[in-house]
Amino acid sequence: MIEKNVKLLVVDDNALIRTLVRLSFKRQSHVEVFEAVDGSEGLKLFHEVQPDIVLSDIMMPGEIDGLSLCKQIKASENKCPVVLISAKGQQSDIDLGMAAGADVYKVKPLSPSDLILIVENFTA
Amino acid sequence: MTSITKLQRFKGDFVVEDSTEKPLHERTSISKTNVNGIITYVNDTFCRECGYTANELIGQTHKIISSYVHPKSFFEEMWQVVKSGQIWQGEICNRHKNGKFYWSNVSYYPTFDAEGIVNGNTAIRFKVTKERQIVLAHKLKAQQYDSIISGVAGFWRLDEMGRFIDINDQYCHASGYTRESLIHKSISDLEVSGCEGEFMRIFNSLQIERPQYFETKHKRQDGSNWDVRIMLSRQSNQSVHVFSWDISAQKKEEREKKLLLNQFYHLQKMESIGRLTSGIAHEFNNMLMAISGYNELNTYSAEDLRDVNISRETIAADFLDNSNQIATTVLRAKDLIDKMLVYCCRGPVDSENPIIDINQSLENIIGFLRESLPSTITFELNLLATHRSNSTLNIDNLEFHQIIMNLCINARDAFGHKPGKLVIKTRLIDRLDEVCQKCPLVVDVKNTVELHYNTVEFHCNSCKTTGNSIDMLEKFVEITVSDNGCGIEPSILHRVFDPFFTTKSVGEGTGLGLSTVCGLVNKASGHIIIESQINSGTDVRLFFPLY
Repeated sequence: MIEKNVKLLVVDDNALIRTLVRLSFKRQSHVEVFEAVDGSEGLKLFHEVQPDIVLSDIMMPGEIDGLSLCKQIKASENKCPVVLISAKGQQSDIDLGMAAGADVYKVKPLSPSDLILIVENFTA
Repeated sequence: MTSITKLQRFKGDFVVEDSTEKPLHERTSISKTNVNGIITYVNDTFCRECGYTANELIGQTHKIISSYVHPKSFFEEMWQVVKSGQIWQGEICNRHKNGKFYWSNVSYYPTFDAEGIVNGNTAIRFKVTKERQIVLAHKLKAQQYDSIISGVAGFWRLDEMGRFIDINDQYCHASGYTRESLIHKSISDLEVSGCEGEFMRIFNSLQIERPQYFETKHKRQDGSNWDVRIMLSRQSNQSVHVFSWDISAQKKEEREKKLLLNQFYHLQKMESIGRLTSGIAHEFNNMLMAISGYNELNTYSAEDLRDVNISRETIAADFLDNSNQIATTVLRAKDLIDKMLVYCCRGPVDSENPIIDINQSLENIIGFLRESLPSTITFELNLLATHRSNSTLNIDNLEFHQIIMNLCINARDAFGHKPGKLVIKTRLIDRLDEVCQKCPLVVDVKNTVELHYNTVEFHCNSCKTTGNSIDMLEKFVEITVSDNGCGIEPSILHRVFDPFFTTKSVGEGTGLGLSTVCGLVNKASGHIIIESQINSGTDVRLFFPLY
């Protein structure tokens, strides 16, 4: 159980994944989930909401992908933890993600308990 | 042409005795042959008529005086009669030693040995009259014509109602009918269902000296069908000559070729599905992740049941929530599978009149592509207004899907890993809309490959080609697939339609995508133009005549 109040921003173009994340934290009453459908909306919400942690997909439509979003977050004042979640699991992909400044690179699939554990680790 | 049948056995026309001629015994030529056909006896009259001496003839066969004008079957038939112990009568053309032909009215009498078995024959000949000789020569000539035609084509003569007056051996042989069974019958008795009335329509519009050709199917006597090419030629108001050629073998080859081509397109389709595999797999992985995720959440809800502090209402709501999400995800997976199956299924090979609604069909395939291409690609659909009722194309739905899919896969590859925008536009064009009034295909862009598939050429100042433009009067629908990807090098643009030409590394593409597009567009009487600018993108424009 996450005891602290946490604002979680999830950025994924796939509605299935966003909904799964939202419902995974449904029982965690201290966690508030914000959803963005692509990189640019993610960046906009990041500035508006000032989340405590960002979970972002990498491959998304539009000009800002997950890597670029991560770089921009890390370049901003609120350098909150960024967790990149991708289906791409090759070492070169992971290296790219870490180079963009990600705190953790997770390869799909992820279960609700995985997601909760990740957030717990960063907010404990 | 008097008769088309084999020479009938002579039955009448006995030579009229002319009392001014020589006495009967001097006009009667007699020869005898043994069972092997060797001449054993000739009389003086025989020798005089053929110009050979008895010494020259005896020990030979009748071949020595053969004119070779009668078919082999004629003599075979004759020997059959004589061997069976019966008398054969007929008119035979022989050749004098000096090479001239002469006709005799011949009677072959079988001779028997002591046991009553045929051991040879005696032939008695009378020369036919000069008048008869002329008649026979004509008859022979007609037969020779018939046999020449028979070697080349089926031939019929029809009366003014389209009924058979005459049919040659070849047609009878090929169709299995006897001549007798066809005479006075109508052509409609030969037509197979689906082709009825075709012959009579052409027959009725036939003008003298304006022969017409067409292809159809005929029914054999055994009920099977065969492909024929027909030429009708009106000789007079009363008679029409018809030639027919058996084109079954050719048609079979065409069908096999078509089948082979269809198999090729099908294989290419499988290849393009293969190239979408990673995208489709990614989508299924997301779905599985969601399903297993909700399943896990349900186990938590089950644990909640033990917690008295949580209301049963809340737990029930959680269960329902998760179950609904699972159901929704399963439905989406099923939908994707259905779309894949629609695309993968082998289309009807002989869909003769495939008509598609272009917007409907485009939306279907794009729906599938949205899910199987990477999500970094944004789609923009700009379809022609649906209130334009006339937006149907004469093209097989699955082949149309294949064209669009191949182009979209190429676009995907042109984006590399960068996000990209794929725009699909359709619009109606008729010649009034265009700068060039005749040729909708004029494009004045550098790095352009144009392929004109119609046999009709175009005349236009800006488009280099000349010719008539009748075909261009019909309306076209233009479908443009544009990407803002890497573009195509000008130096290779002219090769992009070549089979097996690819810029991709081994295993990433076979180089058959665009050549397949080309073949399928061609099949639908369409046109294709590729415009490309390096680093700014590629437009592929397709033009299909509206149905």
